Amino acid sequence: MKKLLLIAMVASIGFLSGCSTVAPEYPGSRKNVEAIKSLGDVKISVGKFSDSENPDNKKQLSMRGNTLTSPYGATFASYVENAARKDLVLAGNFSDKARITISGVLHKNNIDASGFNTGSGICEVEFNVTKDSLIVLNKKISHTHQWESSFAAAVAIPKAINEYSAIIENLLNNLLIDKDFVKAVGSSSIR
Amino acid sequence: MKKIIFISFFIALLSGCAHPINISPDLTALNSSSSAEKIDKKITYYFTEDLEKEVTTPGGGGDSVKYKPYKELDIGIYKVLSDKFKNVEVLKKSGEKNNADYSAEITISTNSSSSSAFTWPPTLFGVNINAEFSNLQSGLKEKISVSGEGRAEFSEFKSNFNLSAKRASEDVLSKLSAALSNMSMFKGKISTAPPQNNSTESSKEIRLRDLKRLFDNSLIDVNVYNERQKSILQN
Repeated sequence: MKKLLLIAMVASIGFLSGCSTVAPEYPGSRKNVEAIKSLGDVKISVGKFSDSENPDNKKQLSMRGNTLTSPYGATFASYVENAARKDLVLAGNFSDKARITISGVLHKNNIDASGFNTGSGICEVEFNVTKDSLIVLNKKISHTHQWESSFAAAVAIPKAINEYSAIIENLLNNLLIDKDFVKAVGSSSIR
Repeated sequence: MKKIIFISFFIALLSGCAHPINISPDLTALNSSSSAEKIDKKITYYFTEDLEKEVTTPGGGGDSVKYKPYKELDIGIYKVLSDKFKNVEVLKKSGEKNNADYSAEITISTNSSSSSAFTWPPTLFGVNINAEFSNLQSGLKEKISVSGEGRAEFSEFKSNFNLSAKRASEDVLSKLSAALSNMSMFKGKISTAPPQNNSTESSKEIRLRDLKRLFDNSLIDVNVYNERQKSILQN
């Protein structure tokens, strides 16, 4: 019985501690797809998303000794880039050859899973929207997200991992419903 | 004595937990229809439960997993319907005013289990979708019911705790898509031919998608998947 308990403990410790985990891919968002469709018959491409050297922009996210990495590349800039592309593709408004391109620079990207009751995360991106290579919008958009957490790492860590996509979903939604963005891209039928 | 207290504390800390997972599917695993194959009608759908409803089902080692099936499958259901209909809208509740041609009332149920005594992520996950479609002009109703299943072993899910659930979601959505095409209500209106991939897609991409589908359906193991993927990318 003692041996069994020891095996269980070792397996559990090995399973939970000091791991590097790849974040799940961005699932796509119905509310973002609807926001994109409301822009009309406009085609948009996605350019490069890069990282600023701001110390608040974490290229890997630390959660109670575990590290969360992007499923798309070395940093989470590629996560935002892929998320934007996915929602545009799902809405049917994506085109590689579109006259309008969205790109951006990550200034803040972090998750705090240390709290026993609450977890939080933030992402701030300076979005650049170009039309025929001319900048029509340069604006910082951010989203701060909170969720119920737990004392137990086995609950808090998976919860934080799963909440990252919600941070990016809401960040993109904040852009898509931003009146300056809507004005910049949605005013006419641009293909 | 100290050892017993430590072990008891450790077990208490780990056991009986409801671990959060996410059952969202990988939508790239689902093929898309071209706009020419879509029905030029509007369909609305609504869920019989709240989008934010959280459910808890068994995991391994006496633990359980919790997730939001409606919220996490919503984008997948939206995509499946968008691939069949030109206009899709989600209603917050039944009877909400709209000018749709069809409506669908959707209920989702799930189950999970694990063969492992020491790890909590489920090794087997099931998703069922029951949907009642109504033709709002004729009043005709038709029900469909589809079930999806996903399996994942420790060697696979150690890097993705959601894996069996994700596979079950992809399986059920793929079956939902097929069931829609076979419904008598839409017979002849939805193409029953295999969905076409984007015409600009290269054969390499098609082969990679086919390979991923085989892997996601547990028809090949991770080693074969990696080997074939490498081979396709190198050719």
